[in-house]
Amino acid sequence: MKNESAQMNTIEGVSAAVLMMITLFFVTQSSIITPQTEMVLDTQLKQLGNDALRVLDSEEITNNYTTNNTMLEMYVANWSADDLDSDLDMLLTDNIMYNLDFVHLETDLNMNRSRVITSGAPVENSVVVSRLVSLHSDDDVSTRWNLTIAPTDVKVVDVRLTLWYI
Amino acid sequence: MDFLTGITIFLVTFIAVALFIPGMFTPFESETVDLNSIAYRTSVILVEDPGRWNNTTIGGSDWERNVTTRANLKRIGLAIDKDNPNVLHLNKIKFFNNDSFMNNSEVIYNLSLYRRIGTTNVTYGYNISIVELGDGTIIAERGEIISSTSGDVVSMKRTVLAQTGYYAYLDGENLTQEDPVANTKPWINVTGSQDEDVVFEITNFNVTNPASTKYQWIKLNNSAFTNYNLTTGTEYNVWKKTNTTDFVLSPPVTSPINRTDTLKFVINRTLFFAGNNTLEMNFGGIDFKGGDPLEYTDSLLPIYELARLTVRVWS
Repeated sequence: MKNESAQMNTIEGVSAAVLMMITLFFVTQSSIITPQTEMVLDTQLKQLGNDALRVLDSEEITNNYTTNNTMLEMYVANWSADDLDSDLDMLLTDNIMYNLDFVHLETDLNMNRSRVITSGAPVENSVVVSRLVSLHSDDDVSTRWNLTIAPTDVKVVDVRLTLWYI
Repeated sequence: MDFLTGITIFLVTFIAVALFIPGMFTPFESETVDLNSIAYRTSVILVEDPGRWNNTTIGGSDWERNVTTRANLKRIGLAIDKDNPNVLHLNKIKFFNNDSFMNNSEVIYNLSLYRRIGTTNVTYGYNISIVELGDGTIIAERGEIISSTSGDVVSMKRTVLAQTGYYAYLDGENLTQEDPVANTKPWINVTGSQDEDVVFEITNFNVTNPASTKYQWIKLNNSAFTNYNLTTGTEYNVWKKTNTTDFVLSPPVTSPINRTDTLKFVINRTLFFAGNNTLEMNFGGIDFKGGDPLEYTDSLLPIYELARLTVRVWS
């Protein structure tokens, strides 16, 4: 009897240890540990992307007198990929790469996505920011858009910027 | 003996687990989280908010015009208004950058750059700068210089349009000259002393003799100068833009001048004094209509420069 009780002590110790290790194993496996710095980098990247599109889409950047359209509206209407590329290159920091798409709804309600600027394949932690731009019939719309806009109509284009750090 | 073995295994595992647990939460350490969110919050307040002032009766976001007692300044925001985030107002930037308007500790408390431990406030180190994207000109900088003792510094970068001044946009057809003395000499009036350089652009020239179009000189008349011929380089500069080129710094004579060309004049602010400051230019081959001089301050538009606002915070 005495011996069995002593063995129980050992078994209890071992089982308690196993229980703790299993609990710890499950805790570490189940919780998603995202390093804080990575989340901050994502926020920073998203913020710079949003700022770039927002600045290009502000009335103030055209210095008020030449046109009523913003730079972004003109670039989208004219399909000026090179101008847009050089502006984004200046607005974003040197360690950022980006792709840019124009996304719009065709008359047959198909989603049309056109790659306008390609810098390469986005990496795993890329972020996407976007801004809606309206094209009007009196805008200087490029033939590349292949669409006619009725005077009472507007065409909404989603400008999508995919950014990642290199 | 068995009991001793059991308790030993238990204790060894228990201690190992206890030591492992703090390491598990390293990525979520509160210090890093605090600083990053503080940098982010500060950048959002500065870039996206126009700020707020109020006294006992009224208030608004135009604090740069109304704050005589700093106690009335509730929030430092630099945006021109709430509908235009990322577009920063000239005078708001100036007041923010002015040490005598608000000192370091007022900036710290207005932007909540501190944490409360017990009954004392422990302030964070900070550095906020607005730098032009093109040439790296520093538009504003507040806070301390980052040193090797600053420890971990976290930063948040924002892209903004910062207003750096005003300019007048003048139509050559509307510009007047002192009839009937000369028809190639337009004049404009600048009232009062100036805080910023006087900048104006002229376009849509009424070219009457294309072969002899030229710009010759600019003269100033005010309480200090009489018919004073301004010197290029030190007192003023002229840039010329054509249909095919952007503004290029031009020597005093920029020939030829086409109708659609634009000339930009930038004149040193120290030349202007209280009362009337009349500027008279002389062209050739271009006519201007007769009349009283146009008032520069009536046709001002803001100048915006692309800039990077960086907030750096450390504990």
